[in-house]
Amino acid sequence: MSGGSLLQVRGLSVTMGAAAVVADAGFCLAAGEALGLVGESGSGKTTTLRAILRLLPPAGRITAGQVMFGGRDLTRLPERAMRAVRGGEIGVVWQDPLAALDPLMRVGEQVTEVIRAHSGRADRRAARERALQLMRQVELPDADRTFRRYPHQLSGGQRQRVVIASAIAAGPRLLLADEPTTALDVTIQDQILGLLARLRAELGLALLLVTHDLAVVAQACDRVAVIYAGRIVETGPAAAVFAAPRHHYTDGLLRAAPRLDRPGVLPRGIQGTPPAAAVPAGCAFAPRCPRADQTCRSVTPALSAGPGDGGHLAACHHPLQHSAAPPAGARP
Amino acid sequence: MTAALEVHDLSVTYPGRPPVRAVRGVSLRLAPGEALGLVGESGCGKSSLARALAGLERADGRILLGGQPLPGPSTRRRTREQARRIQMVFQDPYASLNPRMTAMQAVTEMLRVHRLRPRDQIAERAGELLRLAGLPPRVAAARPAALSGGQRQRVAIARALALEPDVLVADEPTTALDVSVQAVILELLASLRAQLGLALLLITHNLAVVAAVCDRAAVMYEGRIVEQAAVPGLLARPRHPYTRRLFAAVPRLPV
Repeated sequence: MSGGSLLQVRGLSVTMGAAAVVADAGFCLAAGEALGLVGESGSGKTTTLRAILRLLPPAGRITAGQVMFGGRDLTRLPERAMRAVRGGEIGVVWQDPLAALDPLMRVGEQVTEVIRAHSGRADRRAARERALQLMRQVELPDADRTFRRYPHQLSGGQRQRVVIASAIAAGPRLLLADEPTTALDVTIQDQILGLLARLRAELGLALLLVTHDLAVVAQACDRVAVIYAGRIVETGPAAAVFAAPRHHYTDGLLRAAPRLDRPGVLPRGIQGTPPAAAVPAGCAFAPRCPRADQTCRSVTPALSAGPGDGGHLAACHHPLQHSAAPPAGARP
Repeated sequence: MTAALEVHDLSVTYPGRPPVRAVRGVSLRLAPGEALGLVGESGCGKSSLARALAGLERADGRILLGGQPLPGPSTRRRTREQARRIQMVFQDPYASLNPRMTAMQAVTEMLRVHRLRPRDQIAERAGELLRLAGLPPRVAAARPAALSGGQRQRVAIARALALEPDVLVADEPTTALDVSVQAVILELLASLRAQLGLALLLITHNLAVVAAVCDRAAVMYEGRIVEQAAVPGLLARPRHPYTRRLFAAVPRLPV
């Protein structure tokens, strides 16, 4: 798999002060592929994304691992080179577009700036033309007028489109998106996910999508990696993982989702809260897991393949079996 | 049966040139103990409607609580008793809770101000309410900053319940929460409704949330209710094109 990988994260560990918030995380992403990194608040998903970009908060440190991208290990790249990667070869879309945009600058100028910053000395007029073109590409209405607007004059969905236009401005091969639709209502979310899918197809973009919502992954991603307390606990093709989750945490997340196809059925929450940091030994999910026993509390489970395989791995001592499996969530 | 809440031809208009007609002649009926989902996208007027119901917004039209008309248009004209009977839970409990008050203080304040219990029973009742909202005893002494998003929302719910309302209006109560925490809060709302016979008006942009919790749904678009029906029927046969659009927008897990 590594041969065809655009991005390969291996054994990544990140500490925040004394706390290990990402522990031995690994996954890869092929060119043009979309991977959903899913977990609850505090699971380490955003930290993982920030570690890839080397944009950790001051207390954050990458303590181990590699982030291979385009034949280089980004964890070892000089900061200057890293600046060219961010927003250049790797585009980024943050959760809150209002925070990502400069409130005092017309949005079109902001897209123009990104183009100029990453294309050396492109002249202003050409950069503006290109910005307008990008704004049309992300389906902003009346791009000429929107160009001259300030962020506060746009709707949440339009702002996110501006951020996406900036993210693709330098022609990246990879887009990192951190909860890009969480602040939006479902109607706008649907449009933004549709836009990302279209851009992926048009530009051959790979996408790493960080979200807490498995349904978003189901709609937008080919593969999924579920992260809990800083560790990847299950990964595989999205269809396989959703049809037959093997980790009890993934199963819990699936049951927690309200579903249009099951009116009157209350989603079930996962009792308890995730730990604030990775646990030194044992399965971090054990305290919340219906199936946990002594082994789970003492031995860290490794990611391993199940009977079907196909790249579907889970880190669980007692994985769910799905021989004649009813759909996830349908069992009592 | 007398409705817990009845709304007739309610309108909310914000001054401006031209004036913004956020809510345009909405009528709703909520039976005692019923859960009605009010669903629509950002800007459709659903939060303005909620604020008008809570008396936080000037509105035209009539609001009846348990068959008794509320004096319009603003909350200042409601009696303390009328104000008590309809309570709100907002999207962002962090913004609606006093950062310097512990969970316990947030709830005792409500009991004290509304003189709902003799002084010597307030602490006990507050403890009961926190338990009812699913908060463990150790959380009682915690301030909002030390609580998780889900716990904060539980404190906000305990505060609302302190007044023993007949109607709870919850405006996007789970939108800022993780899916797993959302599920726990929805469970809580459903169980409170069953235990206390609360009528629930649940406002959300997510039709799947309505499907999980509500008996009926009202779909709001550009300030108007465009479709209103029992949830199973609405999902099986959405009639208004906007309802169909909302329906299609919900991201789906494979069956």
